[in-house]
Amino acid sequence: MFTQTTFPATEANAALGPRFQVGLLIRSGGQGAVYRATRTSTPDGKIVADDCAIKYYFDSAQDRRVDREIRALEGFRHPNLANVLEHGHFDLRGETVRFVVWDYIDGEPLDTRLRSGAVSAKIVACVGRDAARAIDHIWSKRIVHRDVAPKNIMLRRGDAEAVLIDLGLARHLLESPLTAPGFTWGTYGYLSPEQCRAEPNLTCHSDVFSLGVSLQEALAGRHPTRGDQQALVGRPPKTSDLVRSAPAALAEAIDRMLSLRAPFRPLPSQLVACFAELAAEL
Amino acid sequence: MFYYNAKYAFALPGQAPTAIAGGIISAAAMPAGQLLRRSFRKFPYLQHRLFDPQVYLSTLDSHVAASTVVNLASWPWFCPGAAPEYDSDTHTSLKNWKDTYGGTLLQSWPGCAHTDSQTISDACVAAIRVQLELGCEMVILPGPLTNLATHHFVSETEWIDAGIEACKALKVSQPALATVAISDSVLRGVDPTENPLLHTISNQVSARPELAGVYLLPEMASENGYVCTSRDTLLSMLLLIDDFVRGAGKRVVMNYVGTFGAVASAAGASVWSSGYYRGQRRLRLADFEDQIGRAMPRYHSPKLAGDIGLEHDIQEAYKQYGDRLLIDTKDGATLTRALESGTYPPAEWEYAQSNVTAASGHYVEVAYRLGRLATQSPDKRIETVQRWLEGAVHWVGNLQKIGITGSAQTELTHQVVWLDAFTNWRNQAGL
Repeated sequence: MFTQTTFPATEANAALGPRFQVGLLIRSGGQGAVYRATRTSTPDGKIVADDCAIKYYFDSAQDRRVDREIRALEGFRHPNLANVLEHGHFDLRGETVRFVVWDYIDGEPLDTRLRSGAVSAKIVACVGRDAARAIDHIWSKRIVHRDVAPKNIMLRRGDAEAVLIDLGLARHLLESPLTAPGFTWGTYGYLSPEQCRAEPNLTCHSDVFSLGVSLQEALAGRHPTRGDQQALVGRPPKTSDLVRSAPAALAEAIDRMLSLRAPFRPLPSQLVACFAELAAEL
Repeated sequence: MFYYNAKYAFALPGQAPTAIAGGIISAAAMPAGQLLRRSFRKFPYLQHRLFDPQVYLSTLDSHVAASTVVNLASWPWFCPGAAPEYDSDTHTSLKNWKDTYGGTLLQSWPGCAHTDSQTISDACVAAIRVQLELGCEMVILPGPLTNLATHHFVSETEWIDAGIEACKALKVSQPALATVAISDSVLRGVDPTENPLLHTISNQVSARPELAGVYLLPEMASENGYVCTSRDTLLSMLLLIDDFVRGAGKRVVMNYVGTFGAVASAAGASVWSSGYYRGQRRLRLADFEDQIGRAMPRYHSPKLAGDIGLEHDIQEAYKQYGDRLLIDTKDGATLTRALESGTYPPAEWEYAQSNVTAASGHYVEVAYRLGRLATQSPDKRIETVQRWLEGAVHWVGNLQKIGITGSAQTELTHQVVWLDAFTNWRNQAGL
């Protein structure tokens, strides 16, 4: 198994063959690394000039999760989801390396953006609208993202649009869990009460809660409970207490997303309508 | 609103009000061929009808519940193609049809809900198609009984989604209700506010925008009487209703709850359904097992929120409290007059097997009047039910003071449980 430090990136890029011109490293973590690239032809020989991102997965033990992510996204073409162009694997130094090629999203992750402070209420409404659209779309296929957080929301250049990325933890309702009973997946600080209770069958309500936390953070410029997950699912802070100047309708919509009882949260389709209206007004 | 829980006989009993808002017909009541040929025109209340496909009865044992199973197995979502539909021209009589095909239908009975995706999908299409043919005002998506908490409602959601897809395929315009049939075996002994199964159910159902609401049924596996006496079961129902209605903006139709339906209505249920017989007031799988038994008359007192025995107790209560426990209904008038004039019992209320016409009509009129709670504002409905239940508990005390004790005929134990569940629900809901 490769790690962040032992992964031979140059060899991997070469192993992809001449169809790809691999460029700069976009980000790297424990599970893999993402590079910007240009794809000059498709696997069946069609000439293209796709601006894309290639993700290499270091650990073959993650194969089932990678398969799941690919399966989850393969049938989708949606403007607010990262679209899969192709996927495959090759052998490198005796290890099998999986890779997935995505549409390149010209922009930056919301978490990176928030390092320089809060974003405007209008951008928050745009992010809410687009992420809710993506959640609504995957939920129509009964898939739950399970890891909605600022690191998985890309803001396109110009800030008018957002894209939900990384469905590695997404799960179809009828799929068996890859998680042991009593354990949960997601990002600490953004988990819904249902995820904290390790409920096995989540719904879009869970993604809506996580999106609500992300929007509060975007509006306030800091995590609403400074990363304290227990405080978040004990008594989520009111948006207007975090940001006194927040537009009332926006604050109210976000607060409803943070209802502790899942049925009391709005459905993603309702949020799309609500945030679209707010984005137009603000 | 109160809907009559119609069984085989669609005619309302006694002098029950014809203005009843609607009715629910069940698959187990009669074979497919018979129901599909019946006319609803003669029964005004059935102009607003629902049909319950009763997939939650799939686990009935054909050896001990043969007559019910034959009826159920004749519907295509249980045993497709197992026997030709009953047709009086071809088969002369229902008895002939049952004699000819009963054995085949019993052999075809699966004894469990389907689990194969394609079979579930076909079953949903068949069940919905029948409801369209019957002209139902809403479509009840079939669903199995939830009796194992460890299965996390997974198979039930598969049925719900198959039902949603079937509605799309059949271009159904009527509102669709998901069946949520829960056995009290997974509710009793668990704090309803912490029961993960309830969280899962309300989460899954409310996350489906395609559903207009829920057809909610508690299965009273652990009860012997006509009414539910489990605080956990009742509070679970009220919390689910609140999640569906106030939380997700869905409607709830509740069946087999007796006059607890009025409490459910205060919590937000838009329709509740019941009838005089035990099998209309409660859902219990064991009740479908073939057994010979005749109903006895029972007087339902809304003041008591329960039945009072006709053999002795009603006279004792009358001696002490006059007609304060009684209510003026068309069928109950003869009983009141007989008690007043010392000529009790009148023939219509004599405690004798099957002498239940007046008692049935009286019960249905009481339920109809309780159903009118729906015309009150939500806040007022809650206050009315609170006062009603407190009054019922008070009456239990009054009867006990004069030596009347709870029995199979006189129900004196559930009132305090209903009040407790309702008060708890109000606290939880902050209402």
